[in-house]
Amino acid sequence: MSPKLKRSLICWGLLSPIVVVILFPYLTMLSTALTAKSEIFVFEKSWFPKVPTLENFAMVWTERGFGRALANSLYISIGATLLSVIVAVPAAYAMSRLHFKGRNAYRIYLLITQMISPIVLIIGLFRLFAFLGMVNSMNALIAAQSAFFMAFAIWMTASYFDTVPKELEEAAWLDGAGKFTAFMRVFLPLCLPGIAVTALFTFINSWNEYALALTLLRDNASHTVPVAIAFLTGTLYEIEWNLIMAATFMATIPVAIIFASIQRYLIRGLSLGGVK
Amino acid sequence: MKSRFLTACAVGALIAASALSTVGVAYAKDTIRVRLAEYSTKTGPFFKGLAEKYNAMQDGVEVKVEHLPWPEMQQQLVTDISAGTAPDISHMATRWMAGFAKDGALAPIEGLMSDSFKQSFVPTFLDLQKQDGHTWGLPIAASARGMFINKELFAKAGISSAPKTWDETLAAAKKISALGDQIYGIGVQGHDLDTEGYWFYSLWTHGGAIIGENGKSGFASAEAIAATDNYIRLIKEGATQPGVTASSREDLQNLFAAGKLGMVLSGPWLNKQLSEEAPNIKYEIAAIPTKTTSATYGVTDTISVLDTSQHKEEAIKFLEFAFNDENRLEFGKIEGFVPVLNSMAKEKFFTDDPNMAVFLEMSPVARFAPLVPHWEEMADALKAGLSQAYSGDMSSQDALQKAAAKMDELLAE
Amino acid sequence: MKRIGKFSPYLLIAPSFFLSVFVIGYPIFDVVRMSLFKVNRFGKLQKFNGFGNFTKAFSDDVFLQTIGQTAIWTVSVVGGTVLLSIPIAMILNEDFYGRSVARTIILLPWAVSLAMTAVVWTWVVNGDFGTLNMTLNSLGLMDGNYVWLANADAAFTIVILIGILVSIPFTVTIFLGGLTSIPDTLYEAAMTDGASGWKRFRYITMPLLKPFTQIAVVLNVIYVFNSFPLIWIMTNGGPANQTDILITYVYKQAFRFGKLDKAAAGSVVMFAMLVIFTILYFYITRDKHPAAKKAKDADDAVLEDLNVSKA
Repeated sequence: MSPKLKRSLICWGLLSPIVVVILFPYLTMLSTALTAKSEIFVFEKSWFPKVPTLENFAMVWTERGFGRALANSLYISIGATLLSVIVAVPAAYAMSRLHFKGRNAYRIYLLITQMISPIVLIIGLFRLFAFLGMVNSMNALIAAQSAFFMAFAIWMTASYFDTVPKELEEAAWLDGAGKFTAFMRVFLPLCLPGIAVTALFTFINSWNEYALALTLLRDNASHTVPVAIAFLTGTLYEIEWNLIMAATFMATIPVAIIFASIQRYLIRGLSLGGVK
Repeated sequence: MKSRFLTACAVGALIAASALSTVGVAYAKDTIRVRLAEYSTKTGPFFKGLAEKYNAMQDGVEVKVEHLPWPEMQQQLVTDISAGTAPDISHMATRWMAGFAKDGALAPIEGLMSDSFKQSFVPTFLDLQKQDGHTWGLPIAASARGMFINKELFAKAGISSAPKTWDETLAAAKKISALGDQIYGIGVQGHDLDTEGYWFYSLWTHGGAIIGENGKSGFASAEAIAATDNYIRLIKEGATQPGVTASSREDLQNLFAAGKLGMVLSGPWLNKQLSEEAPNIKYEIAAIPTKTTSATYGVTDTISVLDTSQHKEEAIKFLEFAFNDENRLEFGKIEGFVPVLNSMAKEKFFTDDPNMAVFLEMSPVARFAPLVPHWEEMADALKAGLSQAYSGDMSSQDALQKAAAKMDELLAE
Repeated sequence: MKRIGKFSPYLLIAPSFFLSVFVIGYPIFDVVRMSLFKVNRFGKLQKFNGFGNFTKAFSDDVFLQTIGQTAIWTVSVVGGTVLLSIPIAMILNEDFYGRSVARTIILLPWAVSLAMTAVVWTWVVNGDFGTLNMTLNSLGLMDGNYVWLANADAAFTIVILIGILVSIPFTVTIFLGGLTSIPDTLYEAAMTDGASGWKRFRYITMPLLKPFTQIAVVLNVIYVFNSFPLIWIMTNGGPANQTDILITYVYKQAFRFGKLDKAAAGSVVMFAMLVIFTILYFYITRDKHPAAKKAKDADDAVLEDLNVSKA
């Protein structure tokens, strides 16, 4: 047996318990999502439905407006990602490259913004956005989510910036490029992978965000995916597990695929040593 | 002061905000917003249909229906009222109404209702919406509770008729549990929404009361302790489903639908669920077993006009439309509740089906939860106490005394 | 070379600063103000109440009990997460077949919102219809159905384990980032010096991971302390408030019981607890070896440690 094969077996062996625990709910989701409603509460439960059905997926999609929710979520997540990155990149540059009075204070401020959960701010947030006439506005939700995700985006981007050698920019300055030109032409292209990871991270956070979306978007037509799923669980006298699992499964798959494709960059980009 | 701070906060970002803001809450003047909580997935569409009909009938106002699930209802209503964006008409649990009215969120409607409209309601149900001499809403839904019995399991266990007393219930439940194979005699609820309601069945049939004659909590009366011990006896003798403290109302209903429960206490909506999910279950509905007194739990939900509404009269007009015979019959058929209108009590739909009629027959002995401002918190303390008593962590007396003390403290607030 | 403008750093951080002040500023002010006033259930201020709301909160047994439970919840979830994440990250840092698949699987819980995770797990552990009991029964590991959420200890353990499960991806990612920053030359040098596997872990990996551990602990404490959906959806704080944590307590006070003032006081207490924790933690774990901060500069210091221990 080659050493690498042996090592692989050991590694997988050690990881297997957690892998099983992680995959278990996914299998449950899939099994229940393929089961017809009449077979959910039966005497003899089984992993495999007697007659597998895709009806639940179709039902969630057409009758419960899940397609609409997906479109809303997509719009909001893309918006929140763009806004977060736009405000985070310059701030991260300042935090990573420039020495200025109050840099530490700003670091602490960012940490503090993370300490307050939107849940305890629900009343105030709603009053604020109602005062501005922005309840039910998806763009208002984008702004609110970005405010909560921004600190993390700044840390991640700044820690990536730290890994880019200073000499490269300095060389560009020597060539007569202005600070801004050097930043745009030399620095930014080098940092794109890090920014991309930050963007994807923000996207996923926004995709999964619940409390703010529930508070600020009241109109049934503007619901996001997590809110739509929570609302599926909320009718008073019964819980339609088959539909909930189908919806959750559908909401999860795109994000899981994104994860699979970016995990390599994610790990490199998250060298968060610079948060403190 | 609040708005000045808000302005200061917002000024810097307002430019961005105005660019961002597209939808806003600019409701036209003649719009009446109606917010409803969903009993089922059909509730929203039903009321949207009503609004469409109403809008086509007249030109004065436009009714807009918003609907959401019950668990989010309270939070959204509270935030909306606190920010001044409340709808004109809102649905709510009757037990929230007292607190909402006390804090000035609701409009008294007795002056806006015509006499004939007032008289169309079953008096018991409309009276429940009254407090301090005012009517704060209309009973939009009402239900009574009964005992659902799985006939097949009864036959298998050799029991011929529905138990009438708690002692008979215990005997029957033990026989059914003895069938084994994850079949349980009777469901007892110990988790989540309406856990306290499940306890009231036992409390009232043992002659207890939620508020005693001295105006203090009846949670720890001798009858209340006997009522709790009644359930504990069922649990200890293995006559219930396992894990009572984790079983919600839905869990029990699901067990019954799967044919695993011999008996469960529930309301008319369960008929609907069973016909959709478990058409093969053969069941009947009996009155709630008694010890000293016969009783059932009557529950209503309320639909109110908010105090901030600029269109109170128009709002009542819409409600009058929503409560006409035709629309109420339709609602009853969709959701399966007990009728709240006098005219409906003779309607075939409610009287011909024995599984509906039984709830009507029990109405005269219905008791209700009290209308006190902090009821939700009192019920929560009771729920916590019951949990501890059912699980055996505490004696029923200690657990109930704790809940009663909390209730007395809240009554005094 | 052009000089950096004196104001440019402030211009660069300004957009992020104003965005957060705009969104969070007023709500924070609102909460603090409500905590000092008597407030009706719709947040209307009635009269100044000084610290009355705080005294009221602290004289509530459930609140005090909840503080203890919050400590158990936070310490167990964060502790368990960090303890599990370091070995997982070290395994994932090895070169083995299927590593990227393994990494993706470990990251997977991150892809699902907490609310959905909670809903799915509630279904998994359901006593009569859940897949957990079904599987344990068919594997012969259990006979009959266990109702996992019925007993407070079991329920709390389950939500804590799920809390750990969903915190692992983020934490493993941080540690993996840290591990990739340790140069291989360090380990090679230690191997030539004959240091055992344990010693290499103790004297190279551990010290160099320290800043990452710090970040992992602080951020996880903040997120876990404030984590609402898992407990809310799975147990709703029950049975008998025994799985409530501060955030679910505060939410119940505000939106179920209509006690916005008490809820606001609770929120302020929560914030104060986090601030105090963070300050203390950074103080206790502050760098006694400033050199250990950057891997490159650390080589010497670490090798010195190794030599000392060999002697």
